Amino acid sequence: MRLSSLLLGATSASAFVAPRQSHLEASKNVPPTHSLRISLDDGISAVSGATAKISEQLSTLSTFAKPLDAVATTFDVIGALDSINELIDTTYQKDLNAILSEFKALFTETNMLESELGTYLSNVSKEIDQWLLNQNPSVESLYNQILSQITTIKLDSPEVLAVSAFITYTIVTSILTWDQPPPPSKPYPLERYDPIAAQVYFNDKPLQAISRGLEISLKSLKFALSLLKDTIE
Amino acid sequence: MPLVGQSLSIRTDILSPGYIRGLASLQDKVPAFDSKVAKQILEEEWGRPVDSVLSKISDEPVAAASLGQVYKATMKDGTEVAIKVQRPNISDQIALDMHLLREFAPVAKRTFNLNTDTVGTVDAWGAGFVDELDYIQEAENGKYFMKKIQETPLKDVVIAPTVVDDLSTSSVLVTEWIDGQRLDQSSSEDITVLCSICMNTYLTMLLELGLLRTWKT
Repeated sequence: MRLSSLLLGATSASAFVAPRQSHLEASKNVPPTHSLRISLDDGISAVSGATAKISEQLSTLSTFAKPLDAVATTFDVIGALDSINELIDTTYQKDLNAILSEFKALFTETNMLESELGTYLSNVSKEIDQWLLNQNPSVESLYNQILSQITTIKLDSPEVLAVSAFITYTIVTSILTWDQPPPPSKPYPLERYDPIAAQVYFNDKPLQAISRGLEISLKSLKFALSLLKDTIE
Repeated sequence: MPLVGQSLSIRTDILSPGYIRGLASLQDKVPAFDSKVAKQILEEEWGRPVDSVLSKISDEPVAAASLGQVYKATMKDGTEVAIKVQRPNISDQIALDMHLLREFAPVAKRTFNLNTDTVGTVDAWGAGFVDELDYIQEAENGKYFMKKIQETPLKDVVIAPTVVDDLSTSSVLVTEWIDGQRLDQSSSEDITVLCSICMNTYLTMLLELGLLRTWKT
């Protein structure tokens, strides 16, 4: 498990190295640091502006309180629900569409910022690599050999984040438990309830625990919503 | 999780009748697993083909609960038996669910401001659930129960099915078949008398024998 974790960690490291190398090859003009600062400032301004517009739109939603206040005096729950539905159709749909447009613009800005930052970091890492190789020229051939041997992983950003997070967790866990005995082969090795052994066993299998946890949470939520519906009816 | 629902299905002090009726199905009407898998388990546990042991076995289980399901079968010598087969990988599933519940217990205690040892409660549940997985222990408990009940005035009215030791393992329990009916589903005229005997038996087990298990009247 530890060896495979280290191999996976090395593989994931290559996922950052390879795109960096290919990005360097594609990038001919290195943006100077001060232009990155300008890009960052523009980006931050755009994000602030979008956030302010979203807040303004959200504040109009406070008129939801009016129909609900009416319930307190007239006990007309059905009438209140009709009023809310009408407000949604006439006013909030338009506001919600405006909010969605602002979110879209926000994501575009953050993607542009991410691209600028990525380019900057690529160039910095290239300079560091070059400096290290200058210190020890004999390593260059080995370095190039390793790069060509390791299979690169090309994934979209969300998948890279998820896979890297899992691999980092695996590597860190392996390092922190290096001197500890391997986890048991089953949750209850002595065929008796043993919460500590089960904890060690399932800490080594986070995906299994997370997926079952999500399954139970969703079923519990459905049950809770059914209970709520029973209560209201 | 079905085990938790099963435990709650008898708590009329906590839940309303509607929920009790819904959860009661978890006692013997949980969706069954594939009978082909059940027969494979039988052959693995017995070390021989099912046909060499039984002359007949029901195609589908007569009842299915959270831990296993029961088939009606006939042995080569004509004896009718009930064969309880444990669900595959149930131990690992229980272990994972109890582990998650145990991780969530302190959070629930803080969130709902509960004045109880939630982790201890989960541990007590877990120990009970895991103990139920050992059918050999269940068979031994049944024999002990019968031996002890013979020493009480209930000896002529309360029995536990006789275990077929040669065919019972930790995952398979074979007992004599007894025709009967659940008290809560019976329309017999002597229901009241039977309920009194049940109460008497519970108290005898609790106060005299120090053992709680299922039986038949």
